[in-house]
Amino acid sequence: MMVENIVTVIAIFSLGVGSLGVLFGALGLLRLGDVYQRMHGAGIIDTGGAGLILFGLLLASPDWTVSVRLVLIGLLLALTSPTATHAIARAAHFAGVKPLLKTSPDAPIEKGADE
Amino acid sequence: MRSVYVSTILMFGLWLALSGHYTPLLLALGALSALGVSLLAKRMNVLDEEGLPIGILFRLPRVTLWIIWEILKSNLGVIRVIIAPSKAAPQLVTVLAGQHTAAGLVTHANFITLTPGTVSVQVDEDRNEIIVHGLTQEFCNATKDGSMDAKVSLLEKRTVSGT
Repeated sequence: MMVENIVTVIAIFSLGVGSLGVLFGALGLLRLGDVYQRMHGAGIIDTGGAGLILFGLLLASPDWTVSVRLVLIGLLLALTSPTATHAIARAAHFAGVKPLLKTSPDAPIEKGADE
Repeated sequence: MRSVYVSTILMFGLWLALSGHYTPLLLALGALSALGVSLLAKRMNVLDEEGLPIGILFRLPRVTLWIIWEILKSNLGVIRVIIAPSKAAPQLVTVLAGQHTAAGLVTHANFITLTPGTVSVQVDEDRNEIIVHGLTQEFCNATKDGSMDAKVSLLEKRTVSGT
């Protein structure tokens, strides 16, 4: 009984932190500077956010068949989400979208300078 | 032929885990379909080292744990930047990749993108370089210091010599 309680608490904690991660990712999408930076915000959603939510669900899953499916969803996300992110970044790069770059924390943000 | 056996066993394992029906007829049908798919894959010549990297399965857990830890750390870093966007100092850096196979290079680029804060923008297969967009200097340094390169090479290397 005691162990079950602890697992439930960890599951709820992980679900909560994961939801916060998704929220911060969405905030990042809105707040960051250009298309490349916004992708980092989206990165939080499908790694930390989705990962922690899946982990929480895994701990709370009623039987092992559900757990197997959750693990498979996690693997699928780990393979597909970076691929999609890379596709967007590459498309932007080849379309000639120049990232805003900043070489030192004090320097002003400047446009241009590829690679 | 060994790859067909291994593939059949793995596929039947997946079938068992997902089906939830364990009557003799369905079990037999599941095993038959696993075998059929494996034979088709063999005929299509996709059951090679790249399509069925058996050796990786045993080394994957360690690298997985490491990458999960890295992901959690850099998630916090990106959240810090989101809270204070003025901290963002985006950079484009070139990372050298020590991998020798296309699959290894893809894995490296995927790992870079999987860690928040860094996104691989372009992969140069001829020069073994990955152009990476990093959100701040720290993220770029963490990618360039070679630890991720070493981890991916660990996954890749023994695959080449093994089996």
